[in-house]
Amino acid sequence: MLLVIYLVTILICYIAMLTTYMPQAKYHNGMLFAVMLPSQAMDHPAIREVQAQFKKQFRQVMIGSLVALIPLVLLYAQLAYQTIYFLVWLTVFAVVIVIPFRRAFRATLALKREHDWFVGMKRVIHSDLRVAQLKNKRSAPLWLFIIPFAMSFSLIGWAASDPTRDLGLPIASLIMSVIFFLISLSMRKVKGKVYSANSEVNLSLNQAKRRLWSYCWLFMAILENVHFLLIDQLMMNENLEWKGVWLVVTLLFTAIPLGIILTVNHRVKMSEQDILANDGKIIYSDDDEYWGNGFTYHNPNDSSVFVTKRVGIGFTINSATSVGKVFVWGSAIVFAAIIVGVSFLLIRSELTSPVLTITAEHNVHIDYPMYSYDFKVDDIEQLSLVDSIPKGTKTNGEATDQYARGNFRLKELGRSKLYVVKNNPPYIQIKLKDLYVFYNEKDPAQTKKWYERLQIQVQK
Amino acid sequence: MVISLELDSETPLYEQLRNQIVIGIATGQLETDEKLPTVRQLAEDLGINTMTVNKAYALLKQEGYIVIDRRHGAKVGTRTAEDPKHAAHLEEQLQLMIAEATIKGVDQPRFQALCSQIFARMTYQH
Repeated sequence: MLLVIYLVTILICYIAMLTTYMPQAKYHNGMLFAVMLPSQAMDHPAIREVQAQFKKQFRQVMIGSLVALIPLVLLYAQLAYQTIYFLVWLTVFAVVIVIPFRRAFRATLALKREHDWFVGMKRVIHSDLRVAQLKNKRSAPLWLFIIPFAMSFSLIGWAASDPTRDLGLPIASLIMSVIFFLISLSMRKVKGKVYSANSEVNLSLNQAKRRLWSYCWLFMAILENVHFLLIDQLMMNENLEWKGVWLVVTLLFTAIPLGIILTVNHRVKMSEQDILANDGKIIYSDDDEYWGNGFTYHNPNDSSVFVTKRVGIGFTINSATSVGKVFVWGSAIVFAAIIVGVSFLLIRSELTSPVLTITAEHNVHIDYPMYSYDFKVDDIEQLSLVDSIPKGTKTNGEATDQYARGNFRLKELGRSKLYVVKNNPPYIQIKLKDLYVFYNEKDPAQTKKWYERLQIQVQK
Repeated sequence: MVISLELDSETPLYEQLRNQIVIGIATGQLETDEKLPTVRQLAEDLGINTMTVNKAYALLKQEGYIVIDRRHGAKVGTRTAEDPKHAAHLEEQLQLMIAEATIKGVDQPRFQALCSQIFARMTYQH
């Protein structure tokens, strides 16, 4: 189950990288490896050599990263280590995959300097007066975001009206709406692109592009709200078949947004090509010097935070602005914190197991990081040794193929705390006032021993 | 119309912007009464400081090329009557230009031919 999610994520990243970097080896829109070049430079043997080198190295990296996936599959039984391996793989992949491109970019830039292959004017900024004024005229109006926000708030209100329900997902859906709203807001501020000396062309292309993207973000915000509503419903329904449905929903709601973004990007590219093919007044400007590595943008002469990417889809951040710096470092820190934090939690839960103790004051104490629990022996209403635990869902805790620890909601029993090794009967079932506690040890003999001790305590 | 500002030029950015808008009006790329972007919109689009755009707009307004309305923003101004002060200023500027041209070996016919060529590009209608 988890492996499928990891593999789908990896597949998406893999395809994204392949479709982003592979076409860079072709001369397109006046650029090769994100370097502006005149078309006659393409016949130079040194350029051909760079292309051949890139193709070879890129193929090696793509195959190498596939081979590096084998341990991920082999770690099937070791969920925690599998997750850590997955995170490490993604990080290493993201770093390694750009190496061939970066080399090709540097080599091409060096050749360009050597042969003085400059296109257009250097250090010139362009703006179309009509684009600057009217670029957002045909975009989706921001007030339409009332729809996703209303959806999020009704989901929160609905969940809040039922005390047994978790507010996490509805709040997450609100956060998603806010994120898409902020994306729309910041995209409106992105500078218009000057394609041509013809104002009509600039205006129609910029407006069409913004119109498509703005409706795309609005639609995504609505779609994510539906997605969260579905997950919320699936979590509530303690259906035995929910795992299959969940998988379908996850795959569907990954594929649809991805498809939308790719389609929008394709349509924008096509309309650019169509219109510019008939326009003899295309304006090129040489801003290679601001594109470090070919894909990061650092331009102190530009006050805009978001700029359209040269390689790949969407936007990147100008790391020369103070807001850009906060973004770059902030996301690096958050990313590192997530990886380190998740790895730490996973390893800890893999290495520690719950410890049950009975204190002299007739208290039962179950010690486990974050989910420790205490109760009095006198509060035990019923004590039994059972061979199975009813199915249920996790509300807050850890559940892997081997363990279940933390807070769960079980079928027929309701609110429960589980500290069990799965498929390893017997289990000690303790009934407290409106709460069940399940506990077992890896060794069934030990579990029985604890059960007897608890029984003696209860009878006292 | 497309504004192109050279970052390495000795002419300050606000002056380049002002000059290009003036040329834009005279050559008909900007029509009379055509609306211009607001200071903030243009600064955002060029990625330069709003103060720079503000300075250019203030200059253009002061010289009567554009009008700035509190409600409708900036737009290209309507025709202005000939200004005697401007004529004096023009003579002063021309004198320097012609002096430079004479020293550099540009004679009167060539200078005038150049002037006619440039005048031909100006489609501004009074």
